[in-house]
Amino acid sequence: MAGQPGTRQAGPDRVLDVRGLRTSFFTEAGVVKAVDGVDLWVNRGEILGVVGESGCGKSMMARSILRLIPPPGRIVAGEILLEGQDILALSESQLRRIRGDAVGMVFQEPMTSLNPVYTVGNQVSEVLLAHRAGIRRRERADRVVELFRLVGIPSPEQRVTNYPHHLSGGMRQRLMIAMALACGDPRLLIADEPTTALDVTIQAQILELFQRLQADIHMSVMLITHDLGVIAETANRVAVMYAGSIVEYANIDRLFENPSHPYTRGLLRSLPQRGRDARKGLLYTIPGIVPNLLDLRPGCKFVDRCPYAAEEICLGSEPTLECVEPDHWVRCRRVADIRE
Amino acid sequence: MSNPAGALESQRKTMSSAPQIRRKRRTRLADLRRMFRNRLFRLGMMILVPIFCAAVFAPMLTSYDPVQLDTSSKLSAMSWKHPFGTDEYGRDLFARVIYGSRISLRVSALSCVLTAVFGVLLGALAGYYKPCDGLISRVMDGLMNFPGIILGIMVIAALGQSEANVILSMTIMYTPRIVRVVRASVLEVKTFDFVDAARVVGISELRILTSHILPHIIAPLTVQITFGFAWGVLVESGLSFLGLGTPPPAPSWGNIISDGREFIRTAPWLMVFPGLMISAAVMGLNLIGDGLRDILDPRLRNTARRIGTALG
Amino acid sequence: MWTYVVRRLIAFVPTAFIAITLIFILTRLAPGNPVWALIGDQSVPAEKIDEVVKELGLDRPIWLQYVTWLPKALTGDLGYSLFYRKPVLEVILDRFPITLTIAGFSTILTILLALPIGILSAIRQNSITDNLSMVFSTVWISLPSFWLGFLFIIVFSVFLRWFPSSGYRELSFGAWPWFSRLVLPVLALSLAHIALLVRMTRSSMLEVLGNEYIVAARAKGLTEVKVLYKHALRNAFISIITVIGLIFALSLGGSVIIESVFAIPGLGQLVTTAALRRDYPIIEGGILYLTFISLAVNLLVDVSYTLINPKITYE
Repeated sequence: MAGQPGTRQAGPDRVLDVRGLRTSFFTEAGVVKAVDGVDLWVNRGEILGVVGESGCGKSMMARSILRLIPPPGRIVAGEILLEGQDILALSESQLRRIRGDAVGMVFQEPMTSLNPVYTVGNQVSEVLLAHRAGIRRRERADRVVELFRLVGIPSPEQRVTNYPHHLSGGMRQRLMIAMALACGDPRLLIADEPTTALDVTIQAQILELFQRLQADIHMSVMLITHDLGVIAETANRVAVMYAGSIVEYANIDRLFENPSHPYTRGLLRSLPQRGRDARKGLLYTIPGIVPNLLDLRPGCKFVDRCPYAAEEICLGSEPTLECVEPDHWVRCRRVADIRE
Repeated sequence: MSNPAGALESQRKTMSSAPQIRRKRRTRLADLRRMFRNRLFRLGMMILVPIFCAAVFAPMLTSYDPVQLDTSSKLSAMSWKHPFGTDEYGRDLFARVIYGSRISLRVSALSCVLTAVFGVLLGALAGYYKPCDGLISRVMDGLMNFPGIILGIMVIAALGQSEANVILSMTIMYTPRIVRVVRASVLEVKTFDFVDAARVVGISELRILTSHILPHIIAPLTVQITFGFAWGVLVESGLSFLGLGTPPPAPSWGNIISDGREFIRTAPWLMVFPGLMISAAVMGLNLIGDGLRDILDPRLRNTARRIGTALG
Repeated sequence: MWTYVVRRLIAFVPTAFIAITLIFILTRLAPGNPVWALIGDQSVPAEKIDEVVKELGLDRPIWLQYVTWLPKALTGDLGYSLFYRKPVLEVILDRFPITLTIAGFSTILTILLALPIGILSAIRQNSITDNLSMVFSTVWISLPSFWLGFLFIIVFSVFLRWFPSSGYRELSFGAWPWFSRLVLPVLALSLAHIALLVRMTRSSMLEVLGNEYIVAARAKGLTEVKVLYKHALRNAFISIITVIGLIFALSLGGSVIIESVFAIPGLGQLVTTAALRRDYPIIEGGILYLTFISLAVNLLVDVSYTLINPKITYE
């Protein structure tokens, strides 16, 4: 288990293996390095949480996996292995066969992810049409109802003819999950902020659905969010992302027991505390703002906001992910001092 | 927890990043620079500025009087003496076209100013005060239903042919569009929280309207007015061509084309040049409008929006 | 859904009303006694003028004139034209089909050409196709239609002798005489509108393509063709449909000028000549007619929009 994630350990139990992923946007204003060297993997049957603030590139990373990056963006480097197969090397038609079948994706805003002019039943069954060529209408209709039931949509037979604007936010999100599961055996579900647009009670239901699917059909999930609470509740392992790179990567318990990267520590400190002592004093915030991705200095990207920053050590070249204990990697040259 | 003063300082720093305030102080110059970097804007200016200068400095560009007859050189083609040729009265076409630019641009510009004034007034009223909205919107809709320049023809027919009436009819035709734009802007901004915040602090409604809401309409208004200017040149020339616009012998571009009709086979240049000028002026203005739209409202550019929303 | 349709119909009434009233007011605003315009230079004894004034009801207060005029106007009694010595309605109906033909063909041509180009430009954003169509549309939008008309005449009639330069022939005179006289006017009228519609279509399509459900559709593994045609186009069409009414209104308005260029005896030319001669009954009747047609088409488009937009249909 020791050793850097970049070393070529073929993990037979890894559903997804991302190595050195870089995705940049070539705009008129300059090159934006949205994803700048990401290494992570998802084991079979586990929920990997990817956490970071808005703008850190986690959405772009998620979309890169299915090569859904719009121009002027482009994946410029890296390897994305889905059960050993390099996604970046696939042809368009091969890629399409994976999308919606082996890998499903759920987006943040369920209202805008659904086409308002088609019924929800239509939008789910078109996934089946696209991937299961011979499937007949009757069979398809049955499958759609079955899927609705699986994700917990009440009165599925009636709902099939509804339009997206007839459903509540929580139900639309369940629908998106149904679409991702449509073909029956998804290896990986990528969920990009699936609960951000929902209120707390519905959030809990959706997260519970993920866990149920994980238990029942042994599904692997990459759960992307900015909400540490969601991660704490649902994920098995966590990757913390900042300005396009992973800065900490660990088993969930280890992360909360012993956060080692200054950013992670800052994040955990900013969580409102409960209890009498906590009511005194101001809420902690990480000073400064996210760096402008057009204008980065060579070196650690967190250096302007880091309480442990030391120019001689932290600038110059970007730090690499180091393993500080089993199943715990940190991208910081001062980690030894931090973990006193 | 070990540095409450530092935490407070950093909080103050993050809070002061209210976008509007910072912008006004530091980035005005950057805005201007951005404006000139835009290709469309530059191209439009390159076309329009010479025309504009020609209009202003007309007497220096040509020694001929646009209405002076010279029967010895009737209907002559392009030559060194007469770069654009002459018409059937021997008048130098180049001079007529140059002086014509004064009229066409002036008429359109004046109607733009009037349109802006009335449009903002009516649009702001309609957007801000619900009871006015019903009446104003209905009337504007009614006005917009007249196809093409029919409304203009009707106004001229009713009030007589004169430059003032042309300006008036053009104003009447374009104001509904500006009202619509302004009204939409006001309606949008009205719901923003800072309006309520201003009210809570006790700022008068009028002050809210002028200093908080109106700045937001400047961008779409400028773009629409620029396009309105282009439209105005086209409409003025159309009306003049029909004989219902600027009264002759004033050499509006439309008039010149209309005069040149009978000589279409013998002296086609009489129509080609003024038409070229109209096209150039309109194109220049349209390009400037496109450029301004890109500069002032980046939300309309799809790339920026997609990156922006997707990155988070 | 039908309640929505009825509501739209009801909303149509005040707008139409305002337009009609405006026409009434403007034609009566003309300074001077309108009878003078009718008489021209003839010398007429004063009593005769008074007689005509009384006959035409011009001495009554304005609101009374309005109230008597309105029902007549709405039912088609638009008065009598002294210039043509015929009821106004008859003069209008003689010429209306011609204008409708031109405006109709122009609208159809515009839609047939502009939609594919606009959609293609959006799909292939920033490609050569796109840039070229954008450049062309910027240019074409700026050209005055009457000037284009004359250019076409110079090139195609005078120089190449392909088409006649003016006039109008009924279909009964033969297919080619009728068609050949329509080609140039319709083309000159349509070009600017094509450019406009290309831009609108492109931006509408781009907006649709920027939506999340397009990305989601791709994420489902649908072919690009399916994504574009099933998901993108359907949504884009919904917003493009609303523009069709605008295009028709522009064509109708534009034909006023084009008819003058090509000496086509349509409704537009009728109104223009009437405006120059101060023939108020014709001006009034002609403009009423044109405006009404435009209103009707817009209403039709509005209603069909509500029918194809499921958000409204299934409210």
